[in-house]
Amino acid sequence: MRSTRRATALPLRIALVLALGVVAACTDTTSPRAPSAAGPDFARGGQQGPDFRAALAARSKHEHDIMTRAGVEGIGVGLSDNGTPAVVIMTANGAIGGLPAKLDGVPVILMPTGPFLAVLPRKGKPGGGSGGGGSVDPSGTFARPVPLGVSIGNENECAAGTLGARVTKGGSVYILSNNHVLARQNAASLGEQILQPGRYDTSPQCSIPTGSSIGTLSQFVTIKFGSGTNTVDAALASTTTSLVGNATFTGGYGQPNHTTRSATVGMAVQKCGRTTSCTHGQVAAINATVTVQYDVGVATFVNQVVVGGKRGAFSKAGDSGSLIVTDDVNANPVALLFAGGQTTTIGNPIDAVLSALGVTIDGK
Amino acid sequence: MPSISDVLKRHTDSLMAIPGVVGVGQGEHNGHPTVYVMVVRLTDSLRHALPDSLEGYAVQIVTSGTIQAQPD
Repeated sequence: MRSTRRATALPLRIALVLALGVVAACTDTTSPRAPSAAGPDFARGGQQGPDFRAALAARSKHEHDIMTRAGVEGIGVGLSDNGTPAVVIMTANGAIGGLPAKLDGVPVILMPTGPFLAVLPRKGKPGGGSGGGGSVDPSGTFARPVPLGVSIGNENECAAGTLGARVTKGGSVYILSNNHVLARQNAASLGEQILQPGRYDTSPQCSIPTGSSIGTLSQFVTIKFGSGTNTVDAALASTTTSLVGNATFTGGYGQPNHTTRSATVGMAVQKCGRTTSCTHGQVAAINATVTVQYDVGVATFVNQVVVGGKRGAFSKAGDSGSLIVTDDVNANPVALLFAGGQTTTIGNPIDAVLSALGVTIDGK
Repeated sequence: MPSISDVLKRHTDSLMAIPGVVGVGQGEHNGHPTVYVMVVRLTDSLRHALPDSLEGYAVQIVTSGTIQAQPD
């Protein structure tokens, strides 16, 4: 992914998350179904997940033309009703004349979503999540040592994710976050600078202010795109205790516990992150297999933790890398947040993350 | 009755192969384990494609939307 393209695609990606949320809100269902005589239909098979490459290419090629039309609020990729990849055009209030039914052979879907201003990151106005995070803006610039839960990013892309935790290995300390926050979805070289805040949150946006480095990329677990399975989207950046603290900003859970806990269905959890600040939720499912859409392709993750928000979304774009901990005074680490849908958040089981990287949580 | 994890092992791949299904895991409803199925949108074709239960465990369908990595 080139950082230049990344920069222009960012607001669109945020928009798409909301768009799917709006559409799905009409059909939102949590419905255990009673057994019936109807048998399962598993005749189809083989495919591991939709291939979004053609849709992504069509979106990129036509993005400028489509986005300049009146009433268009966003463009992205999604799935049509029959499950095939499509270009999604988000509109302020319903139909717009003159839009093509297909772009380079890829079907086009219109989604009336309303304008997106409310979900774009705004300085000084964090939150919008389910917990209310107080007055701290986690996307801002913090005095060193910076707290957990704040905006970070790789020097070579205009993006922002979340500083999840400080971890230790052999007497050294590291920043824990996602591969796709610290290591540019496998594209980074070890030694690249990690900045606080991430360049998406700097002013002017995408600039690199002097002194913003808080670490250097030191290790990442490669994400397998396409076929194959993953368990973690995780990376480390080498840092020091004078640059990175081990407690959240005010209003958060403070220091995470050194001792982890495995997720169980129904477990109450919380997190502090760059976009929705500190929110509370509940584990909805465990041992989940999930297909996740990245910029560069789709990846399948197994043994994942699924979290639902208590009030509103548990996470949104920019919260990637947040540490999910138990919602009690112990704050035991449970999962590393890395993906989400409308009201659904996905985390890697924290023990798998820590063992893959050979580290332990630097906490209480 | 087989364990929920055995049931997931046997059926996850075929559930994930259904277009529109983006996740399969272990959920819970009224204290009972369920097969938790995440879908992009709950369409009629998905309603028909998904079973009501698997080996005694209710199938719980949740509209999750497409799951995306969450950087800004």
